[in-house]
Amino acid sequence: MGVVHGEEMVLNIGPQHPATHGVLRLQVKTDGEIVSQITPYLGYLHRCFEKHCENVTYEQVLPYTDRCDYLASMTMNFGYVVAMEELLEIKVNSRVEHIRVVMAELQRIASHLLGLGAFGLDIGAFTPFLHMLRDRERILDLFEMTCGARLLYNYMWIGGLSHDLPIGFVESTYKFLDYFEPKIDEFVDLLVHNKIFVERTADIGVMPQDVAISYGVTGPNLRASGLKWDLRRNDSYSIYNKFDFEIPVGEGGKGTVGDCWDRFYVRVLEMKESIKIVRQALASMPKEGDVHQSLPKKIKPPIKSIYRRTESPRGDLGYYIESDGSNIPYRLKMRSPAFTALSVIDEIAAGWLLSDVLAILGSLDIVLGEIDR
Amino acid sequence: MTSERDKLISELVLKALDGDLDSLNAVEDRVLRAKAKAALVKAKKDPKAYKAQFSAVESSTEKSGQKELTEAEKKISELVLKALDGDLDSLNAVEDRVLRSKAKAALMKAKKDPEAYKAQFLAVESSTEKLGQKKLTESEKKISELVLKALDGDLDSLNAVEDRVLRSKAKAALVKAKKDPSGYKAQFLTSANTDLNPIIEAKKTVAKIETLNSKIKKLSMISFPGIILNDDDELFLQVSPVNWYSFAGWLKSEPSLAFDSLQCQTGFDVGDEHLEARYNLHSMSHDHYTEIRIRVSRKEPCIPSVEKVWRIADWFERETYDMLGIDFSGHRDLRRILLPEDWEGWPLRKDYKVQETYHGIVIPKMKEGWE
Repeated sequence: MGVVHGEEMVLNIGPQHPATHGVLRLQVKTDGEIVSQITPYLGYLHRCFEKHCENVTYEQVLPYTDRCDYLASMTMNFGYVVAMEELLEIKVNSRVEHIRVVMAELQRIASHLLGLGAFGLDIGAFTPFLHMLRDRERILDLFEMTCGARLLYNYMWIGGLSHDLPIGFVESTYKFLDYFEPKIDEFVDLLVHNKIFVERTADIGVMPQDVAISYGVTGPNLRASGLKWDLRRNDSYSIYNKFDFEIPVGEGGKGTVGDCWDRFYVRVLEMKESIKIVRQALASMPKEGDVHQSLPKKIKPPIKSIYRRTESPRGDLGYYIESDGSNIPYRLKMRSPAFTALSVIDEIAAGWLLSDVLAILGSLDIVLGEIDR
Repeated sequence: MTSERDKLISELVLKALDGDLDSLNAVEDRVLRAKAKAALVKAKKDPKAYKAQFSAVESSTEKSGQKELTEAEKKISELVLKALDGDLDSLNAVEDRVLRSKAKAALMKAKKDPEAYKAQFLAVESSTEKLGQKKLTESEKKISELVLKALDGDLDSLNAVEDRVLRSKAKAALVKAKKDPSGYKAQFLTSANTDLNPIIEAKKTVAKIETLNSKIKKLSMISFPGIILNDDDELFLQVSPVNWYSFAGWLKSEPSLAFDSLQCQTGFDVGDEHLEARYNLHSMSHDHYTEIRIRVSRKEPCIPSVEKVWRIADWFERETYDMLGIDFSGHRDLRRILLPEDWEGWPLRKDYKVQETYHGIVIPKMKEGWE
């Protein structure tokens, strides 16, 4: 049979390339414009997180978790303190839980804003990126007001928080939510139904559900494939079981379920749900409560191991902590959601055009700091 | 529109598979042509599967035709059932002549054995009834929520309900509930309204894992006797590495376990003699999880790879190999993943010594202890 084979070419994308969202090298085998194989090379941002953890005390691990996913530091803190509190059997008071949920959900919005903006940027839409960053800036202002930092907070501590909320935080947050809620619709008008955008994303890079599960893909990427799976519901931690919110799933609005457009749109919907949660948490937050109340004097957990997962903006963030009874972790492993999301790229992006690969990579919303740790 | 494009592509690919490449090359739309070619490349790897898939597309259109048929059949069965119960008028009132004649023919048949006919078709009706019931419970749930709120002092949300029927029902329920508030609460209060106590929750999950582990142990006795090395009362399963690959496949495929997701894999330096790999498994459909530990000697750390069972194990195993030097036999591409290929030693082993220079770069010593 007369099959036409083009000359196969090997192309390197990255490690220094804006579309790789950090320092990632993709070795792409192409046949003309069609990609036949993708091999990711990681490790350019490896900072020995797990090795460091074996040499510092449990409290000192916290700043390192910040630096893993630098776009969602609050949720990285949150996952670690939830795991540690379960290991130590500490229960924090209701005010602390509420503040943590507010922070985590604001962080989810901020992280999705950057993810979506950068995704638009990857496929050539520059304007939405500026809109997104403008609104993200306001969330960072709120965080700065709380703990002084704009990116790496170290705000949630084991058994409490570093500071209580400053005066005027609740009002400012309400003000932000009122401002931001209509902005989502503006964003939807600007990009989501944009014809060029839809052409670039709909039906591209479809990820079937069983593939997603087998590759351990979680979070918005899994939900976009149509599975209603959210740890805030399915394996509830903190006080998420108190709040009323929906879990958006991909429905194939512009094409097939689990395509790039679905992964994009699920994140847009998730921001709306996060706003709902923040409003509820602010409304039901107790006025009294010492944020240092349950702070342990000396952290020496009992000899056992624990695996705890929480829902970060990118998916299941798991901490496996083994304690040998001393004040230093014997072994601490972070299960990174972006690591598993990136592993699927060869499976779903092979066979597409070279330009689609960047769209697929952008739709997975990876952060290299968390992949390389 | 997009599904049409897909259909076009599959048609082209099928033609190409049968030897007719020209019609693919003749496509003017460049994107379509490229996609079709890409699909062809994939299809050639396994042409039979592709053909089977495509024929499935065709048969699905057939199926939708079948569905319409059953719609008509349902209608007929309803009419016949009514006629059997004495109501012939509704059958005669049918305007569609074809349907009417079919229904009459079915009636003649049914009259021979009315009981059997009823038994066959009544099932259809009861399923529609069930749908109605479900709706009822939806509104009941809403009512119970409102009443619970009202009992706690929040009457406004009840009064704010716009649906008049629902509101009056809720009020009636409230009156009843006030006679015995604690009883009502006990009946309707779900876990959603209560505080989670992490300690109690942790104990509950511990109990859950324990029973699951003893279940796995019992089930594995049949096909994998002696593969689990530890007792029931621990929170993990210590598995021998010898049969691990087929055992993992069994864990995934056994319907009552269905561990379809590998959550996390941790490499572990246990001490003087041994290394360990720990697998956190989770089942999406049953929502249960367990932990599996495989211990191997430090001198010959070799564990069968399970990357064919759970695809994510591919990268997890590469990471464990990278950090602890555990050799996963049968892995298709076991390379370092985070560290450079020519790095020396296994950093997460407890006896690790950092190499002094790397390509002429002096590596700073790690501080001993902290102030």
